[in-house]
Amino acid sequence: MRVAMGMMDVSDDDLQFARQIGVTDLVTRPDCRAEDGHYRLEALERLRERVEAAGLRVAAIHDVHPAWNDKIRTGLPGRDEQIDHYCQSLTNIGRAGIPILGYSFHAVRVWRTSRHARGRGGILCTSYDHALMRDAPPMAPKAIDDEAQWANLEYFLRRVMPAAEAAGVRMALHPDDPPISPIAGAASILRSVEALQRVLDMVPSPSNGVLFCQGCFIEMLGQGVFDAIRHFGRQGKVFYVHFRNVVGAVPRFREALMDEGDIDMLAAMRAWNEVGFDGPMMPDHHPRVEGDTAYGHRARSFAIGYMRGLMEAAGCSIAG
Amino acid sequence: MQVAIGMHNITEENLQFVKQIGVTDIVAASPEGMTLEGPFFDYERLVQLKTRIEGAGLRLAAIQNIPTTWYDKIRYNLPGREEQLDHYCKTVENVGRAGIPILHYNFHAVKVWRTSRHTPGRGGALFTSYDHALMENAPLVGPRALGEEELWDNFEYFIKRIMPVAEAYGVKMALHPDDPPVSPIAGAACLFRSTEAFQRVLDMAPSPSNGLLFCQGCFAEMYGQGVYDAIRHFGKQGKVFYVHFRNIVGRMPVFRESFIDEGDLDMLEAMRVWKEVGFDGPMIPDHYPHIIGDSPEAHRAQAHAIGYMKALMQAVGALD
Repeated sequence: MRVAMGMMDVSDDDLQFARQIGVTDLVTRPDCRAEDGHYRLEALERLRERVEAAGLRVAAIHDVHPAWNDKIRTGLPGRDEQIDHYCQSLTNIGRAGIPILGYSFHAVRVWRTSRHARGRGGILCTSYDHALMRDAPPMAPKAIDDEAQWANLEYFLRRVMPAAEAAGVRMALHPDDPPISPIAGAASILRSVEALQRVLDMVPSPSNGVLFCQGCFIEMLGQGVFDAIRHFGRQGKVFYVHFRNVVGAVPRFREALMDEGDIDMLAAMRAWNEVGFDGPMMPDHHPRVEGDTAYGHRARSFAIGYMRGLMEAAGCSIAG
Repeated sequence: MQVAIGMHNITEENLQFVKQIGVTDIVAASPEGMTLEGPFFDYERLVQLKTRIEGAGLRLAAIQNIPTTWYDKIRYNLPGREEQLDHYCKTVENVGRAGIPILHYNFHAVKVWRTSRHTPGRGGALFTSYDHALMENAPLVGPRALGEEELWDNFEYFIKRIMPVAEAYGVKMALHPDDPPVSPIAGAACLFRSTEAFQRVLDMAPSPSNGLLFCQGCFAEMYGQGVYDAIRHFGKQGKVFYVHFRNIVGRMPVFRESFIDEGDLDMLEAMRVWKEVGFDGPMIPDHYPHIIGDSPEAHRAQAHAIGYMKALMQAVGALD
């Protein structure tokens, strides 16, 4: 298993910080602007060299700029051009020697109804209560139902998956968060084990897999998350993991520090080890610890320490 | 076991921070004000300290770091030692009256020694280290040279005076090893550098109040992998009142400190042995490395260590 961490704004200090607390792999992305359309090879190569010079690896690229796939995600005119760019991103990611692209297919975005829910010791967490979103105005450019969104996703996958395969890049799909539908007039289709399985079966490819956000699967299934780990883990279809915990499940939940939520994270780590998962595992969505920085250095230190302890305890082989 | 942490600077922010990361018990180090006022810990101050910590939803497990100037005459058998002993007894009495269960004490002839505070480790994090070769030419420090037998006599005189008071007021006296465990340094003997020496202390003044602060780092400096036997030796007697859960690289005569998850010790195995011997007291990380960008109080390093320690406690079934 690989100890990974997300870092969108790469700095020398944070690279060193990551190494010191025991991280080996980063999920990151190059600086990019809406008008770029796709990731430039040079930017990817620079990023990779910089991260490697600090003694770390780039495990995955974190999605594309939201302006590069908005038409794809909502089935608007112009999506073909965006798909061409997307394929170019994939080609360049592969050329830069980066193995994974994490991506999502939210029609709009991740939703939360509070950023100031309180957890242990008054720690600030995000939370979601579906009752507060029932009267939300439509926020996608047009109303999108399940069928339309499945058609959008299938159209996209059939075009990009061959490019991903040719580039040697594995595409790791993140579930919709929160996994409940519809929200603000748009369907969230990636809200169950069956839905993610449908994606895998729709376009079978070694490049087609899952970014298993443990938080989202807890939001869907509560204690059923262990079955979901086994379901996708045994197929070898989990390309990387967001290792996080949650209190509650849809329609109401809040985020939590790893050791504070409903799920026994040691049991989860054991399940990951048991299915033979050996890829990058990263904490995600850090609650706001007292006195912390915007990047959440304290929360990240805690999460990485805890996760490394669990890996050791579960008998995982931790890549050096 | 109790997830504990040492705290020098007791502020609302620090109390909230540690509560958020899952700490339940505080070891208060050199409580400010109390040490300035002297010459013993004032009862009312101790009560205020306790209520302040309890007000934040935490417990005060122990007090550590009695100022060395409060017992220097006792160690060296200088005129004035009777007065220092009277004051020391008053401190012990007040700690007991205030309902604080443990008092950590040292009997270093001089101090803790390190020959570097800037030894780089993982990711360039800075650690302290010790190389005995660099101390062999050290000048005499302290009022005069002090031999082992003389220091034993002085210690025995001390402990026989203190222990009945500790027992009468229900205070557990937790003796910390000499660090580094080598003798002499700078002209003074260091007594507490072996399992036999601690056993001698326990047998010298048998009492339920006579026990150890088992600094795992110091015992690793003494014994390397033999530390597990030392845990068993004292743990089975129920004589470990609390634990400094830390790791090191190397052992006498050359060692450096390390992150809790990267030293020579198998910390999971150590935690298993603590569980096996039935230890259920406070366990704290200790001696934090300097992580880049960290606060002077090392909040990042603290969060990392607590996260890791909690994961191991969870894994061996030692969390309440």
